[in-house]
Amino acid sequence: MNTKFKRTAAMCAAVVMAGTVLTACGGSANQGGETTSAPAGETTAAAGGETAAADNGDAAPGNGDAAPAGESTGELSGTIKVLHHRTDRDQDGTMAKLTEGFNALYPNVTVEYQSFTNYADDIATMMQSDNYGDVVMTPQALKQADLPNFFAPFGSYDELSQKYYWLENYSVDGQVYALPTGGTASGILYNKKVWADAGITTLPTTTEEFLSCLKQIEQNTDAIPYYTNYNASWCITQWQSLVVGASGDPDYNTKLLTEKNDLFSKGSPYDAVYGTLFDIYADPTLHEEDPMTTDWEGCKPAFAQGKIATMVLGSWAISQFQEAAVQVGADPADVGYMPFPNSIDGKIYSVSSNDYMMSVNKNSSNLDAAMAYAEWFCTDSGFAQNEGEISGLKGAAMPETLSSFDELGVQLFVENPTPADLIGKWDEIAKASEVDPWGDASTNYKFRMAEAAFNGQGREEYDKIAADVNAAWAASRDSILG
Amino acid sequence: MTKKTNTPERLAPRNKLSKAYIEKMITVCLFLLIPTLLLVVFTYIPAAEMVKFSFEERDQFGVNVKFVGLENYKTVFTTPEYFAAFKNSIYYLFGSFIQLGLALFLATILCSKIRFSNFFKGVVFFPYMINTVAVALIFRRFFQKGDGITNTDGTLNSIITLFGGDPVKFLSTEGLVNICLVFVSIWRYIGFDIVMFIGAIQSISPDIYEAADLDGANRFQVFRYIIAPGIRPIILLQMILAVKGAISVYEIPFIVTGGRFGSSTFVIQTTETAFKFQKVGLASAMAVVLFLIIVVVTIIQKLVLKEDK
Repeated sequence: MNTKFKRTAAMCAAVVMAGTVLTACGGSANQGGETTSAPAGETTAAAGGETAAADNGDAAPGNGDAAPAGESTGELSGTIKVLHHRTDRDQDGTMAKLTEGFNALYPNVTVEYQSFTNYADDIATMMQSDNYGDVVMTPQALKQADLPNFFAPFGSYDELSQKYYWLENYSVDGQVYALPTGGTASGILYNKKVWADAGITTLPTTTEEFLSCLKQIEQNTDAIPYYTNYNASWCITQWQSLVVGASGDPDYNTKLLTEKNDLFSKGSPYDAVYGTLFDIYADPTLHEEDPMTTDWEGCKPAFAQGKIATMVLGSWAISQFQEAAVQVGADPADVGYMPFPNSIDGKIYSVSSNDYMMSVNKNSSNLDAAMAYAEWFCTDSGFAQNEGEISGLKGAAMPETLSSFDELGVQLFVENPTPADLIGKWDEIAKASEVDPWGDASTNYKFRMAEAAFNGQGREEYDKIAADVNAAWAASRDSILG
Repeated sequence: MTKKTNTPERLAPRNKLSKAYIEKMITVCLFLLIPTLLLVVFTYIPAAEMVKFSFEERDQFGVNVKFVGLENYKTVFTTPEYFAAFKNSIYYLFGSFIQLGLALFLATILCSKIRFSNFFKGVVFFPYMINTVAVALIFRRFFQKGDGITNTDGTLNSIITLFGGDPVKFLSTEGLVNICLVFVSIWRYIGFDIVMFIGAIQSISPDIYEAADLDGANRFQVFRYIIAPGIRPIILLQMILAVKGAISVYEIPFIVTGGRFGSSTFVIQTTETAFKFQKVGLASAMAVVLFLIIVVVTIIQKLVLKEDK
């Protein structure tokens, strides 16, 4: 009897266990990221709020003709899921607040957000299936030609390019598959007060002047002249964003392919940018003591308090550093931004490029609502302005964060579209050769150059790495372009 | 124990279709169902897929897949840079033998009659339970060299300065960084070894120790002639795991240094090939090659260690 009881109990336990595990599998589907949702019902009331109504009052007609023909905006309904990378904006409620503005126009659409700290990898994994939300931040690793496999077209390039910047790299066969959520300029973040305290009255216009400014800061102030933030591996990739700006040529990347130029040659944009990196990193007095124990979050208040003078970062960082300055009670107006000082015929250039773009899953069951959301987000949501980013809309005002560029007379330009026969080739060469100028693999030339500089190996080592890069690039370029 | 009890279990094999037997089999199957399912879904299917990928040219998104045969394997074996990363495994191999020796020593001490031995067992096992990311943060701080402006010297450098030495950039000096990472690795994984050894040592019958005591054996003799032979299978197992760990080391260097300052390993290079250069096919081939290397090394090790028996 006793054994029989035990056996039955064991069987029950097994059944229960099987049950629990299976249910757990089913139930955990939602726990992959942080899901916040604003049901339509709740937000109709909130939509009466002043800001939401005011922001969108005049925007409504524009959206009306963008929406698919024959449908008035109010009729769209359903639930859409937006996958994105801004976990911080999910947590502080910014995204939920944005939804209120959207629901003022489309009261029957429920918007859910899911954000990922490791967005680029997670979205790539999710895209192995058909189930990757309705609206997504377009993964940058996806090849241009593959966009139609995953996303629905917004309209023709000829029409939309009148309205938006940066569509060139996200169009296939004349159709646009992603819209810009915002963009950034390239340049250097500096603490105005520290630079002034060091006795610098005019900003540098050449890389040599830039280096001597840093030396002046080292001698005249207690601040660290340049903070490498080397431990956060993405920080060094910010230098790459200076390259096209340093060329002053909107066709620079295309010419690399058509004219078969080497990346590194005496005075080339790559040489100007990474030569400067090498010189700064090679001088232990110009950067922090131990580059492997730096701390990205910690550097923001340190910069605001004048302990750090300079960092190379995209203009997206300005608003974050201003926020940090407010938090530690420093003056946010001390956060200055200047272009990379490489003048060409007396002019300094900076390139603006897109941040994440936004696309719509072509398998979405609420395609119309998803399209309407993406178009609204990139046109009328005000997200880019709030973040201090450059708006993706042509003709929109420059953000205040870049007002210094006007004063300095910086020529801010956008890269020209790649000719049709070369689309995707630059990326293909970059990955195949493993030169990967935007990459942060541990074998990347940026790290090799930085470590050669830290180890005091001198300019010969720099030249050697540059020659390796040129050789690898040329080999892949010749095999891919023929 | 001479009288055999007549339970249904004992009868079962003779009477295959009895109700009790069927019930037992159902229970066994149900219990096995979930682990087998998990194992197949999360280990065998992905592993089989990976082998398939290794013959293909594919990116992270799985579009435009091309079958390329052995091309990826050819690339792996003709690119010396990939194998150069194995030189860092030598550091970890050395480290893992230090770790095993130390673990055996500590396990023997903890098994003898010392005060608070359970407390110390907890202390040595504790690092094994800390999240690896937390470990990375702890040791970044531990090895830090401060600049006096944004941060101060870490624990180790503070101690060095206390004794009048000069602070060292532990994590930004090539060579030294690998020794530091091996130290972290020992600190983190030694607890597991010790627990394994303690389990094995405690399974040796106390009668044998008593007999040794009566014969007047000292501690070293007890270790040499009783403990060491008694736990030989566990030592061999740990050595195989240690070599496997040294070849496929990943976690600690990846999150403490990201493979920079010459601390990269083969597995770090594999993940970078897949996710930074979008060469998933090639990376799968690298993973298969690593798997084969480990299998070969394990077989060699087993053969060599069997001989001296």
